[in-house]
Parts: sequence; C-alpha cells; structure tokens
Amino acid sequence: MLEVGFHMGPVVLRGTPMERQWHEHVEQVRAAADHGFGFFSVGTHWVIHPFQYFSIFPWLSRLAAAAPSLTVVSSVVLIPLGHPVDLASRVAAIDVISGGRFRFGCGLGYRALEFDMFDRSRRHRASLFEESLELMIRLWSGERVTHHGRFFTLDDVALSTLPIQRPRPPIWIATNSEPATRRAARMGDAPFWSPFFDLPTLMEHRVIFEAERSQAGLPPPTEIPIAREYSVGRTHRQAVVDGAAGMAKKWEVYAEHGLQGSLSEDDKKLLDDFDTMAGGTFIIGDPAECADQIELYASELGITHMKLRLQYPGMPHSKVMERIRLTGEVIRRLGIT
Amino acid sequence: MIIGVQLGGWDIEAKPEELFTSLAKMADTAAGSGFRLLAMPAQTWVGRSPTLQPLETVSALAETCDATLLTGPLLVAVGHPVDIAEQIATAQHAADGRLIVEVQTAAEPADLAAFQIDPTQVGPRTRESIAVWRRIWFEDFVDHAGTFYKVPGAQPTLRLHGGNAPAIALSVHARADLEVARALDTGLSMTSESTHHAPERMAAISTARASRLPVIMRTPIDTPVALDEQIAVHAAAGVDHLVLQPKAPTLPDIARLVRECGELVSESS
Repeated sequence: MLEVGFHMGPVVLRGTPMERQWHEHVEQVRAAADHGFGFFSVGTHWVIHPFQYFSIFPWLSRLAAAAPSLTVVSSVVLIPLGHPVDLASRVAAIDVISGGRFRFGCGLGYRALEFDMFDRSRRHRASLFEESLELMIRLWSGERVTHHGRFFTLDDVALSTLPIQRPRPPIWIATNSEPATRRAARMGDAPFWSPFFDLPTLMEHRVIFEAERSQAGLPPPTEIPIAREYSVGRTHRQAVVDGAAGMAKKWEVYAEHGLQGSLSEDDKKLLDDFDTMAGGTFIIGDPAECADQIELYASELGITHMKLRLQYPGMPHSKVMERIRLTGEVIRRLGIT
Repeated sequence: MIIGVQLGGWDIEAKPEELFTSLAKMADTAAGSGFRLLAMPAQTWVGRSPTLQPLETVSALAETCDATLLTGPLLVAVGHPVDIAEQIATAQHAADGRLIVEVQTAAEPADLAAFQIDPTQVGPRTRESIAVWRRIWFEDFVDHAGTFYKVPGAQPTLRLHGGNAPAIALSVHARADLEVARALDTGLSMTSESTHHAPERMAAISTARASRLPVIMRTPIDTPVALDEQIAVHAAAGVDHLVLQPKAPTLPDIARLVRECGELVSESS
C-alpha cells in the first residue's frame, strides 16, 4: 500500500513568531492525518539561518502525539554529528512514544558549520556513519556492547530502554550517490533517495540497491520511500506560480549551505537550472496531474512511501492548509483511504 | 507551594510498549487530581530501569496535559550545548512555555563511561554548556571557543517561547553544586533525603527565592502522605515546588500511588 507523507523541512524564514510557527505545524500535521496522509517527517539542522527550525526529537515526539494515526519519519537524522548511544536512546524513545510507528531516516550531513561545531571531520563522515549505525543496531537488539573502534569506545553498554519494534525500527538511509545506495543496501532496510534523482536514475539505483543486497545475502526491501519536491494547485498554472518562487529560494539557500558538495556533477548542473530540475524531479500540477505523476513512481519503481514537501519559504499557513486539502484529493485519486 | 508528582523512574520492570502509554495515563490522572507540576525521572541512557528521554517525553505529554512540566535532571555534560539549547527551546514550545529544566552534575558512572566523559569534567562542562545555551537563546551571532565546546560563528534562529528562558534548577548533590547554581543564577532542586551542607543550602535557597528562581524538593513516598504537614515543613525551609516521587516496583503500582496522592492533593487544595 502506497503512503503519502508530509515533510516539514526548514522553510520558515527568520523573524516569524515561533509560537505561531509551532501551532501552525501542529495544525498542519493534524490536517494531514485528516486528509489521508500516511506519514509525516521532519529533518535535522542546527542554527539554520536564515530559517528557523525546531530540534528533531522533541518535535517528532510532540507531533507523534498530535497525529497518532500517522507513521513518524526522521528525514533525516545526521548520524556522524551525534553519539551512537545518545541517538540509539532517542530513536528508542520516539519509537516508544509513537507506539512503534517510527521509521529511522538517517544520513551523512553536509553543512561545514555543523561538522565544525560538533568537532567532527566531514572527510570521515561515511566512516563515522557506518561505525555509529552498526553500534546503534547492536544496542537496539538489546546486546551488551563492547566495542573499541576508530571513533567510539563502549565497554559493556546496554540501552536502558529498547524500541518497541523488534529488532529495531526500519532504517531508511539517505542516498545521493552510487556508493551511498550500496551502503544503504548493506546497512539499512530501505534507500531514501535524493529528491534530485529523476525516475530513470531512481530505477538505475533500485537495480544497484537490490543487486548489492542480494550479494550480501539480504532480502529485497519491503519499503521503498522516495522524496519529491511538490506543488499542487487547483489548476496547473496555480501550482507553478505558487511553487516556483519558494522552491527556487529553498534550493538557493541549500546551495549556500554547501549541499552541492554532497551531489554529483549532474546534480550541480540541475541546481543551476530550475526549469530542468522541476521538469525531471518535481511533482507539479492540479490534483489529477499530481496523482498521475505519483502513480508513475509507484508503477515503475514500486515505491511504498512518497514524501512530499508542501511548504516553501514565504508561503503562508493558509496556503499550506489549502495544499494539504488538495493533496487529500490526490490521495483519494490514488485510491488510498 | 506548587505540588507535583514524578511519573515513573524507579527500578521497575516495564515493556517498551507500555512505557509511554502508562506515563500518559498517569499524567492524565495526576493533572486531573490537582497536581500542577509533572516531573520526569533523571536522564539516563544505559544500564538502569526503562525510562524515556525527558525532553521527548515532556514534549509528547504536553499534547494532552496542561500542567507545568519538569524535565528529569538532564546530564548536559555529555552533549553539545547548541543541540541541548535547541532541544530545550523545542520542548518549551511544545509545552506552550510551561517547562522547568532540571540539570544534574552527579551522573551515573555508566552513563559517563558510555560517552567517555571524565567525571571530574562534568561540573565545568555543565557550567560552560548553560552559558552557551543563554547565548544561543538570545544572541544573533555566537562565536564561542571554550574549554570543551565550540560554536564557530553561528547565527541562532530558534527563539524561546514568549522570548523567555525556561526556569533552570540545578540538582544539588554536593557543596560545589551550590556554587555552580549561584554562579549561573539557577534555581535549586534537592531531595528530602539530602541534609548535607545545611547552612550553605539555606543561604542558596534564600538567594534563589530572592531572584524568583524555583526551589524544588523531590521527596520519595511509598504510601500516600499527609500533604498539609509536608507542605508546611518544606515551605518553612523555602521550598516553592514540592515533587512527590511515588516509589513502587511496577508501573501499575506507581499509577495507584499517583492516584491516591492525587486524592490527597484534591483534599488539600
């Protein structure tokens, strides 16, 4: 069964009253539940000027309580910037608070300021990620872990609280490249592909993913989540007008933060050309057009979770609520109840 | 005097799937019984009875609970102050501003070992961490190169609920904690079992009360207690937040104690 998800990324610009921002997010996630969405997700950043953004685990916890019918997704936790014992404990907490409805989306991170602040080497982020995630998986299993590794030392450590889902919540690993897709296949339960990948690229990566899993003696994935930029309107023209300015602003800021450094040369070209990017990787249109585009990903790629970004910089709450209602129409057209 | 109750936290056997639902039911019962403050157990990661991370728990409980929420004593020495400052600000928004933050310097050795933190550094790390929080909460540009932590020219944007920092109370376990509380201008949190350093403690309580900072007393109970007497004793000592800690071996036993204590709170109020 395909689930459509509502992603709340860093899109609210500095200066908006944060009390208002908070209550709008809560209202949005409740509305998403009412309109047939299957999950919601939030991401991780710190001191994310010019946006203002909440801290992922307390935020997920409150939203999980506000919308108890929705699956809860971290999109994504930046593993190299944390400590495996702390992250394992926080993931267990949100899995417990959500009643076992959590999907652990995780990734490497890219902002130089964040790596500098946490005193972690960006050059070693893949190694940090792998050592840390391996430890977290062992801790969630209930094992008393002794480990003397390159980055972490644990002696006879066991988590005081385990997640509800056994042996652990499903792990979705963000990927922007072929090595990352291979890593996701070996270490995770699902790939969480870049919103920059177009459908042909996604299909190539799906083949790579499954071959890598087969080689490692692992079964095919049971969940295939993808993320798309998204703009739905009552008409195609309204969707384009409403979405274009905000999307361009968002990617402009991400580029300033160094996201391009995480991407391939082809992806970098896309950042310079909004029209090309929108043509290949965005879902834009009226509800019928959006449903058709999502259906294409479901039929061609076999996706199970479609994460959509409904809010962009400068977009008022009333517009986000309208988009949630229109997405409800998309969901009905997809036959999801 | 604000009367509160701690939800869970003893050496209990609890399955993960019942942990939060039990806490949420206890919170409803306690708030419905007149408790105006709900307290979480101390923050821990490893090797003790099942407890949930305090900031996540208060954030989730705030969805249905109108009481003020008191974090369990946070061991802030093991994390980065920018991360903790943003977690606290988020939990404060979740609670619509009804949040008191408790901080501890006396940690479980197993927790410190898991994070490879030298026990002698916990106090100094805590001091530096809290000082950084206040810059992150109120300043537009923070460049900090401290003994333990670095903030390289960051522009903080996550602002506090109502523009006000949550009240912070430092758990007092040793004389040095009183000095840290005075230096950082925080309130105090004590247990009724600790009677050491009485003169210094009384002076610190007077200072905190004069600055309108919280003075919290956590007192373990294993049977419903005569609240009027407890309130009178602790009020005379300068305490303005009394937190009952129902001590029982199982979550249902704790829930029963919360309910019975709640009936006494209703009678007392």
